[in-house]
Amino acid sequence: MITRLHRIWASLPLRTKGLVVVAIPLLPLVVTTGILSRGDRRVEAAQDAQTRVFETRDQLEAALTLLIDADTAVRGYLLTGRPDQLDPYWRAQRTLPVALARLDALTAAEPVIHGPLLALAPVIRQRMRALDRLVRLGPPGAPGEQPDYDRALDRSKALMDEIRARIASLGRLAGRLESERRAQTRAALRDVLEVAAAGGVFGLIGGVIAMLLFTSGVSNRVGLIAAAADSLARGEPAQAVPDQEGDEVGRLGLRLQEAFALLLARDDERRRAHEDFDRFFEVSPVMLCIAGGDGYFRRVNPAWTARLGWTAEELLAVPYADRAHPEDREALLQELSRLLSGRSMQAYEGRYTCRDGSYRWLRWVAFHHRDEQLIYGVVRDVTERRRAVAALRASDARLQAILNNSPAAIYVKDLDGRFVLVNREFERLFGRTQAQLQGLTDEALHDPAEAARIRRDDLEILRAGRPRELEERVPFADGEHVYMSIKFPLDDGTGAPVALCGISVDITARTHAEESVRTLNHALSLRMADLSVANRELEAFSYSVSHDLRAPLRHVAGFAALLTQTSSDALGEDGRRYVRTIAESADRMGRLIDDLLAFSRMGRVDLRRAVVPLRPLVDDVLAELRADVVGRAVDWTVHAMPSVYADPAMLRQVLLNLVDNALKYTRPRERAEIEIGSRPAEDGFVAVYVADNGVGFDMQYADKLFGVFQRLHRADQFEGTGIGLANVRRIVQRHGGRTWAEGAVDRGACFWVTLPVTEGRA
Amino acid sequence: MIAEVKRILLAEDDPNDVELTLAALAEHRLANEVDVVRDGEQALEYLECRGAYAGRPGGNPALLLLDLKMPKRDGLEVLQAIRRHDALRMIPVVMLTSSREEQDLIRSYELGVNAYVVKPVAFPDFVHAVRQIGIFWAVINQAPPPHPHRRPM
Repeated sequence: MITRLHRIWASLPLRTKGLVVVAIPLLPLVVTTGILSRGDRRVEAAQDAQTRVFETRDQLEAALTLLIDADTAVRGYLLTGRPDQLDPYWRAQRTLPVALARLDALTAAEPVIHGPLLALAPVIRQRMRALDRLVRLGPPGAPGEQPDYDRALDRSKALMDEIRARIASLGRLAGRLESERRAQTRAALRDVLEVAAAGGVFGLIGGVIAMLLFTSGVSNRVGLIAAAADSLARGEPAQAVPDQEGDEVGRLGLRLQEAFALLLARDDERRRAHEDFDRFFEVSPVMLCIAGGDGYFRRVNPAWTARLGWTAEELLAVPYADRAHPEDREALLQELSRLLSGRSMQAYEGRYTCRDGSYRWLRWVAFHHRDEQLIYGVVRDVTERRRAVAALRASDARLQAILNNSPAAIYVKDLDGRFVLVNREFERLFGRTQAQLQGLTDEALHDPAEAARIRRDDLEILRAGRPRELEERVPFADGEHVYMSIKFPLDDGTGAPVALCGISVDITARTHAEESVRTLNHALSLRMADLSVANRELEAFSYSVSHDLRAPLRHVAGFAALLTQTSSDALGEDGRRYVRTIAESADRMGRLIDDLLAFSRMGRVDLRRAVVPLRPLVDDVLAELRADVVGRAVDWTVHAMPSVYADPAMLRQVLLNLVDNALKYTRPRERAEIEIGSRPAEDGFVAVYVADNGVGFDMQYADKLFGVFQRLHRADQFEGTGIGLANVRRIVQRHGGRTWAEGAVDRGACFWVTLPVTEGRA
Repeated sequence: MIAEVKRILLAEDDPNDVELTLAALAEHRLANEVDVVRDGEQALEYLECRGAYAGRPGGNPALLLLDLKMPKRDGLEVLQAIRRHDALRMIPVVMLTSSREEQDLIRSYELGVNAYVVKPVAFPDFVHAVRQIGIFWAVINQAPPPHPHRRPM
């Protein structure tokens, strides 16, 4: 309710508010004034009545006095006979009617007195007539008339007494009336005073209310708006104006707020514009500068520091032309003076010192702001571009050299088939220079049929838009030449062909060579057939070796044994030794054959590869060889090893051979030391080694170690057929790996093999 | 205890091998039970009791020791013929050969050989091997029934 009233009050227009504010204290005053004016009339009336009563009493007194004076005068006249004694009487005679008329008028509104007064008037007039008669009688001259006097006097006296009584009564009445009227007057006055006081109080209250309304409805709000306006004027950040009521103040607030917003937006816009500019200036990779007419920079952007290394302070401290390259300084200064004299500056390129002492090529574009005497410069680093241009020129020269030194004939023809560019070989071939060929077509160089053929090919290539290889046979004085030509369209960068380029290589000689190659190939394929026959024969051979060669050996060994059994005694000591040697040799040859066959088979059988963890395989091999080391002291060191991708059976053979070798060649050692481990090798491979502290070998024979039947020791030193390491190498090579050995005589040996770690290698 | 020894047929073209084999078997008193044929053709004649062997005492040998490389018909052909022959197909056959070739091994087992032995070069080894074979197949092993009938179809 109160809020609503407040809202209504706030939304009232200011004029109405003013009216309300003035009316509230004025209304009680007006009402009071009205009431007072009426009270005043009442007081006046009461006062009039009081005055009249007062005057009535005076008039009554005056009338009585006149009567008494008249009576006294008449008596004096009668006694003295002097007429002058009658003056008061005459005066009474004249004034009494006037007094009576006045009394009548005065008491007309007072019926209480008016009645008795009306009754008094005839008595007074009677009295006056009585006096009149006495006057007319005159002073007593004649004794005979004495009795009349007495009677007249007596009557006069009686009348006089009656008048006195009546006036006295009237006087009392008037007195009462007067006090009555006085009380009335006082009451009326009191009423007026009370009304006035009440009016004053109401007026005061109204004034206070009006003041409060004015304060809350107008002055406070105006004050707030004024404060906001003040703060805005002081440039403090504008605040929201807390008034949006419907009246003028509210609108003022609203407008002010809009003005604030507008101001803020403008401010923001200006600031943003400034920031935008600053940001551009700061982040621009192009060097921007503002310079004064005095030759000093005023402001430079960070691109300068990034490009040249100078800090902004360093750049601002020295006239900018000072840092131009000595050879370019004059030109820069000339350009600047031209600029300052009002002419526009041509783009100027020159070298400029960097902080590290090097020079960079800068391209200056500037304009002169005459009003501010400032030069605004946009400066680009064109060092790279100049380098690129130079490189392009070099590259052009290079390409030209390549073209000219090419053994192939190279030419470019436009879409109409006219030569645009030819290289030196082409010039040589046709005996004409590029200048002579300019604008000519193939018709100038070939017979019409050949020229038409070439033109047809060219158009087809241009239409297809793809390079084409073709063999061209061109008749020359020394016979027909064969050319392998590649022709392709040159486009303008968008794919539209603009020219056709051809590269023709004289393959006359090559064609001949190709023929001989074909012949050779045929011969080779015949040889290949022979070879595969030979290979099959080799297989048959090894089959028969395994079967046919071993049989006689077995027989030698078998019968030698039987000979020992049956004729031991007859043989004698030497005989028995011979027979034993025969058996041993046969046995040895059997092993050689077996090893050789195994080696040959190793090269033929398919690899069955899988991921093989090395460590378990090594453990397996060591377990197998355990029987061989009984009674020997062997220190094994086996390191962790990765998995490899290999044929498990063959890999086992490799490890078995290597470890077996190590055991064999450490036999002379009191304590054999054998170490097995791995190292990362080339991409995708791991190198596995078996090292021992055995008798070692001379490195100059290192390559022989892996050959078939190659041995570095005598058979009676270390047994073996000399095939084990050959097998190792063959297996490792089939896996794509390498084998090598390191060692020194009596210093041990280390054998290395590399094996693929993952599928897809080797 | 000496178990009943049945006859062993040795098919071997090389007389030296025959002699050595017999010598090895003789060491274990198995030699007397051995009949020798010198090629594949003879082996089949022997088994089928025809030709030169038409009147031989009947019955299949307890073991056929078969060389691979023989004139006329080689060991593999003989083996194939035996395994296709209703009366002969159950005869235990041991290849006794010089060949270590994988292809021979594979082929032999494909044809249903019972064992494959490579003749060792050293005579003691050879003797040992032959003896093992002889004892196992001629003595320890229970041979198939003497008159196998056609299996009911």
